[in-house]
Amino acid sequence: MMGIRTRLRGRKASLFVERHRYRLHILKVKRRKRFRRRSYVPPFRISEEERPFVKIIKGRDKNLVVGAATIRVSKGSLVITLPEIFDFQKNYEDSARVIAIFRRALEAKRKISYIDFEKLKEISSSCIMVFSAYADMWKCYAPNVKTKTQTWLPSIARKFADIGFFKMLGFTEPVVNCGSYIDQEFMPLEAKVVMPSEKCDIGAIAGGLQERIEKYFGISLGGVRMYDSVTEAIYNVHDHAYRDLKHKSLPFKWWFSVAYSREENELTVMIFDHGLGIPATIKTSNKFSSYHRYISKWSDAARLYLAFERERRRTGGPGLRSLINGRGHGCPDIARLISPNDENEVKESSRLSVISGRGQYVLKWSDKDGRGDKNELAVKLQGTLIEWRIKL
Amino acid sequence: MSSEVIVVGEKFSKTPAGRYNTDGPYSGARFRDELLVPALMRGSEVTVDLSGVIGYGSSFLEEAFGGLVRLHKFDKGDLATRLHIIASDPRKQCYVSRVERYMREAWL
Repeated sequence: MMGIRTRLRGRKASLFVERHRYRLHILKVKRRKRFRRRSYVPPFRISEEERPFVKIIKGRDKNLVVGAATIRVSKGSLVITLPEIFDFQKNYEDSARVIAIFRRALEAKRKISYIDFEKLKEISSSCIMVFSAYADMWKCYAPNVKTKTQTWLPSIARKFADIGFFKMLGFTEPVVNCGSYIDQEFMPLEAKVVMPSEKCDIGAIAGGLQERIEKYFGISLGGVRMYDSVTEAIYNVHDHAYRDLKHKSLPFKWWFSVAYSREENELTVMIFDHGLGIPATIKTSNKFSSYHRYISKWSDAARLYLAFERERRRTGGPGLRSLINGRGHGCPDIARLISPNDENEVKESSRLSVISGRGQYVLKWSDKDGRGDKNELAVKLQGTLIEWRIKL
Repeated sequence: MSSEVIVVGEKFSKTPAGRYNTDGPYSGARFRDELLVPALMRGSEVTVDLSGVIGYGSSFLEEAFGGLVRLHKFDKGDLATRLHIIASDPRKQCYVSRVERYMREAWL
């Protein structure tokens, strides 16, 4: 600058400065345009435990050999591998990890090139349901997904076909020949959207359910009365699951499906939402109270247990103060379908499992006094999965 | 004193569910505001028959009957003498005790 000042004076100097400023301005505009063109892709972090289930395609586009076929996977996209046992009861950690990866990929709008079903040997009804629910959200971002079902086990492909996975994603359904043995049949997955501004006729959804199940599977439910529990579960989703708008990156939906095992004469009714979860939405009468501060330090499992058991703690216990405007009866109502009582004629070995956040609540028909158990889980399952296993 | 009988399944809905009007067309708040409170306001003795429905969720029952107490329009003695909860269908008998419990808790 010293040189410029000494060598150029007067009009010449001012012209030079003007030109220099103009050049800087053009450079800035160009840089801004370049930045806009390059869409921002947030980093997708993978923990050590997640490595066996996900791979990020680095470098250029690559070819992936799947059985006899070759699939072109694009740079930056993800390849997700399902575990050998995809079951929340037998292999919770790996199963929940895969679901968490799927969710994070959807939230970050990362392209999933391929989901590898090849290793999958065993899948539970609840895992099929949760996985299909995420696939339902996935189809919004990935309209041109392809599958190679030739590598799938026929029994697994049959279950996915039953639940409506292929129809949902717009695939042609594979021709599955798994003999006469089918361990579980599924009612097609139903998805409902939670619209805060619109009324939802919960009664109409739950009202015809029992009849539909009887018709679909050709069975008689006899004295099983699922209306009360199902309406309360749906009501909980509508009232609490999506009340925080931070979850707006994924659609506000909940899913519902029923599986039936003829061999064991067992009906599994499942409801899943990917919302805030019961432990995060448990309310106390006063959020500034010492009781609120006390339970806010509890683990997810302890809070979930409180939600299901607080009805019985009313006489003098802290549960009394936790009720606001008569609320807090919903979760015990959900459990009522399984507890041995005069209202329901479910048989021994019926079971309720609720997974929400890092907590699990399990109630068995055989549990004394209808008291359930709580389990602390290592991996978080976003939302709430309610699973009633009803022995008929 | 005249008496009025409200059979929920006939006069309201076979599938009552939800707490507030935003929760659906047959919510507990709607039942309370459109059937229960007007009947009690007329000064008559009201019998609510819980029959004729598929079932009840606690949110409906609590808002309809516990919510009636929280309205503070009627005192405890008045409701105890003029409001009767019955279930002519024996399979719906279990709901009677639940309604009584929700009302008792709302008085606390």
